[in-house]
Amino acid sequence: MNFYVKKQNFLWQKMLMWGGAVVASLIFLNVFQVQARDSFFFVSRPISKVFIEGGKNTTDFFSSFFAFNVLKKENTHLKTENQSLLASLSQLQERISSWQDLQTALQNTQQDNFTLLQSSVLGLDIENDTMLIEGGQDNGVLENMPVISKEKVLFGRITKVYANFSQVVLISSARSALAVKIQNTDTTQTSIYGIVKGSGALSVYMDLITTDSQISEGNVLITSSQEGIFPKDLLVGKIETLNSNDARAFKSAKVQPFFDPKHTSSVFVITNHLKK
Amino acid sequence: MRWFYYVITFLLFFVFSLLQSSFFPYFAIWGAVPNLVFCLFFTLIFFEPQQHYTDGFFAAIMAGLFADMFLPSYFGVSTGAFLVAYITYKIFGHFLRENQQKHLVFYFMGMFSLLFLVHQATLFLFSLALDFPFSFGITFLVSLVYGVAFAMVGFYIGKKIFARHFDNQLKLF
Repeated sequence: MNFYVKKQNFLWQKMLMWGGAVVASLIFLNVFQVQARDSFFFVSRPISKVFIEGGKNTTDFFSSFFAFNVLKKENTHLKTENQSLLASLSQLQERISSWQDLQTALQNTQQDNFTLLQSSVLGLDIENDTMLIEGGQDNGVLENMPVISKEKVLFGRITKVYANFSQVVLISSARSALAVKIQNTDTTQTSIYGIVKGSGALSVYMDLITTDSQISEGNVLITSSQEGIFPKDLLVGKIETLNSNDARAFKSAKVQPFFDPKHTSSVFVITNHLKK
Repeated sequence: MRWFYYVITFLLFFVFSLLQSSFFPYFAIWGAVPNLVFCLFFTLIFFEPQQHYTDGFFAAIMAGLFADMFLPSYFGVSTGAFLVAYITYKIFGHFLRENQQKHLVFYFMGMFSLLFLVHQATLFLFSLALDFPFSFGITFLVSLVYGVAFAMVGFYIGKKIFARHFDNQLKLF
């Protein structure tokens, strides 16, 4: 019996001791609660950071997973918007390019007093050496108006005019022939004339060169305006190879044309030079 | 080796309190976050033999200490709430000893809900007396459901770890 009482007393003692320790700890923590919390947060900060990052990443992942339908719609919307913006950008770039082309063309034809109508190339028919361009009757385009590039390179002439479009027959067409001369910087020398004819498939050759003419490969050909359709001094091409045939009265030469319809998107119609 | 149990318990409460305050706020449902500290506390006291008290008191004090770190009030408020919950558990456990052996899972869930209510109600009363912000509304129910889900994980882990204390009950499942 005595032993039981002693054990009971010992248990109470133990409980009081632990209870006192807990209360004392709580009092201590409350007295220094700012420092206690500060120390705790200082120690736990690195782990908290990891958990916060983990929480963010996980919730982002699950959010995107659950919001799949919304994302899908948003994606479709963004794609459409992106395409629309790309189209606008393309239009703007086209306008800028078009404006730059016009500036170059105006600069190159400054001394010629040409009235130029800028036009976009809509189609190219290599088999027939024709080109479809924007601008027609409504824009004042008429048949036989010359078509050039911004670099003042001759492309051809208008053969058919629609309300808003026009067909251009290129100088490489078998139906085309124009008077040219060798560009000569030395004014004391006599000019060499000839005819540039189309041989199809965007190629041309020079014919009717007098046998005594001093021409050589690399000579630049420009329009001479003798046929009356094209204005003078438009760039045509350069002599690539000479064909001499003693049996013929005239020489001919293969010409590398300057025009490049495959890589041209903008041309100019000279509207104030028309064969009457 | 008993000291090892206390070190592990201390570390678990430390990590769980940080998880509760740093990780789980990102998974809040209607503003409710699972009370991991309470889940751990309940799992530990649930698997403590009925006639033992030391580990349970230690769990209540540790849970209270770490919960108090994040409570905008005095130290001891959460500790008090956890001690009230623990004492309630011991009282109910004494009278419901028969039932707990028959339907352990339901007993676990029911007791968890009851103690969670007691714990939250005690904190609410403390908040009125000590004037600190504490909501005790619809979030309580969401937090309870959320907590039960996590506590169930603790239940099955606890069953594996503390199986020897629960030999009688395990035989029934």
